[in-house]
Amino acid sequence: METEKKCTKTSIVNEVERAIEALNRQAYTKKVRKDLLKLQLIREVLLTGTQK
Amino acid sequence: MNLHPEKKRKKIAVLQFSRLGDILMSLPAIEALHRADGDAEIYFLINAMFEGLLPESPCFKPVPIGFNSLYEALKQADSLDQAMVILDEYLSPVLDTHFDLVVNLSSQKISAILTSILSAAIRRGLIYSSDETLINPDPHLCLFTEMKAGRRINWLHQVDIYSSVIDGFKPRPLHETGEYLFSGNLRGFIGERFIEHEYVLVSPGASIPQKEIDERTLHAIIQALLEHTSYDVVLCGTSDDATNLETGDLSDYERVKDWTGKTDLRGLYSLIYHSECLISNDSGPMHAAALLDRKNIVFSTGSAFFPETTGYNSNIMIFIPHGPCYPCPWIGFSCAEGLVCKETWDRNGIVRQILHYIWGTEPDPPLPRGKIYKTAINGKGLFFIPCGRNHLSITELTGLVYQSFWREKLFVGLSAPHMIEDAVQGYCWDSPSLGRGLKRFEADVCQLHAFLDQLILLFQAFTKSPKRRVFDKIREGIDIIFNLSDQETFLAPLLQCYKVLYHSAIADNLHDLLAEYHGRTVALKRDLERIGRLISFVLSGVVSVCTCSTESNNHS
Repeated sequence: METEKKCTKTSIVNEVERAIEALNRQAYTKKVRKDLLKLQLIREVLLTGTQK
Repeated sequence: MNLHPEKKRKKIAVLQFSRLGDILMSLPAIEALHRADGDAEIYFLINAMFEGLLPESPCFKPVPIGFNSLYEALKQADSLDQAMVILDEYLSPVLDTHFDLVVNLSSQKISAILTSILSAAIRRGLIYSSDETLINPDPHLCLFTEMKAGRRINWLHQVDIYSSVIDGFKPRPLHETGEYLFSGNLRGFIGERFIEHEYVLVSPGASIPQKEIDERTLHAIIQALLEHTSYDVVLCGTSDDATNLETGDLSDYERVKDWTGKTDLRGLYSLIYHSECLISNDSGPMHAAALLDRKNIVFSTGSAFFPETTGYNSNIMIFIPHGPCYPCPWIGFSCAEGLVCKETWDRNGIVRQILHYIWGTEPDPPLPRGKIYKTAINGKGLFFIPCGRNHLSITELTGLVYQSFWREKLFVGLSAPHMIEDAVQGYCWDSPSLGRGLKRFEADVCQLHAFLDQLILLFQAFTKSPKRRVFDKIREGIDIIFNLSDQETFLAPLLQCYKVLYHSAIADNLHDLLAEYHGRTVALKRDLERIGRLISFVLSGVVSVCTCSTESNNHS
């Protein structure tokens, strides 16, 4: 069960990385900037984990 | 037609995602914001795990962000689209608001990203750049994020730094800030007393093991209090402390009550408020004691450095350990010396000093060993008065000068002796005899003068001095600054408007970074040992480099 969760987390992080890469190739509009930051926040939260 | 259109209220967000103590240390900044504009809507963004920490305030609204539950929810997301929806839901309280000002008082990457996401006219503190580096455009908060490098000489308190971004900040003890912000709600929030007898409260645990009060010292304190005073001793702490903390056998002590892990945060407030004195380490309860204006004795060990983080109140007594390694270099540091600092406590001396502090008397003769300070606040901020001596070490004096320098913003027309005098005078307001005594400091004057001359030179360059042109010239042609030196502290405020990449961020991926910044001009602080690899890139024409020397103020 724990392995499954880790896989899900890893796959989301990988998806986030791909989406960031794709956005970085687009024209740099306000919306692109905001979406990029949101993706980076998702990645950071997933990588940092819970904060005690 | 409305002849008196309603004035639009300003919206301000203050971010503080660190722990209990940092949240309390942010309150003076919020007070200053509210004093500057009483109509402003101030939102205080904190980690949801500290929700309920503060009483209701008419001056600001706490906005808890549930990072832990966000993490759990994101882990379960089926797709990226769903993850984005989850994020939007969690941030909905602030995502759709346009703020006039966002002040980020945290140094984590998460807070920098969120600061950048929020819609804002003005941002202060760390932000996140498009190429995923951290940028701090504010000179004072910039200094805060640089603290780790030069912290032994950095005697600026975090409250002063946090508040320096707000015009008109006046330092006040934290309990006065509490009275202003909570206007009477604090007393109701604390709740009733639940221990009848008079007691001294001891909080030995901490989130970081290096900060804990060790078992031998704890028992020495308990025995002395029971033997020489009529107070009971009450222990407090978190549920983690109840499980992990080594307090030894307390069952022999009849007048010791262990409330560790048995109270919530409001219960902790109650225990502190109704105590005669709190004996703690440098952690959350210490700041709560400052807020509640209780006597406080602090054992400062671990990564906390007392001039930065002590409770913002007068008459706090601080013990710091012997040895040159204090403070620990970073959180999570594994001590190769086996926490020898805790073995060097002069426990008899400490116990004697604690008893005198509680009795309100001074030990005579003064303690022979150890470094002990008492805090005091004046119009400039928090000061640390050495106990039982009238001389300063070179580190102490340098720290005081540095503190004085930043507080006064004395950029021009200074000489090293003036700065020393100013730092010493800063202590005379409270204790004239101590002030006179401090003039006989033990510092190595030549060494100090060299340090001060460097500092003055830098800040003259920052203002109207002709030397400013040197820095302007450097600035004109530079896109990125790689700061490979350990001595960033003075340079960062000068180069505040530039992207600064620090050693920790670039040590492992220098090759990729240089490829990314291909063709741009890169500034380096001179550090020949570390830039060897970079020079080879320069020779191959990947980037152009200029080095800037803070000693000679020139560049090549």
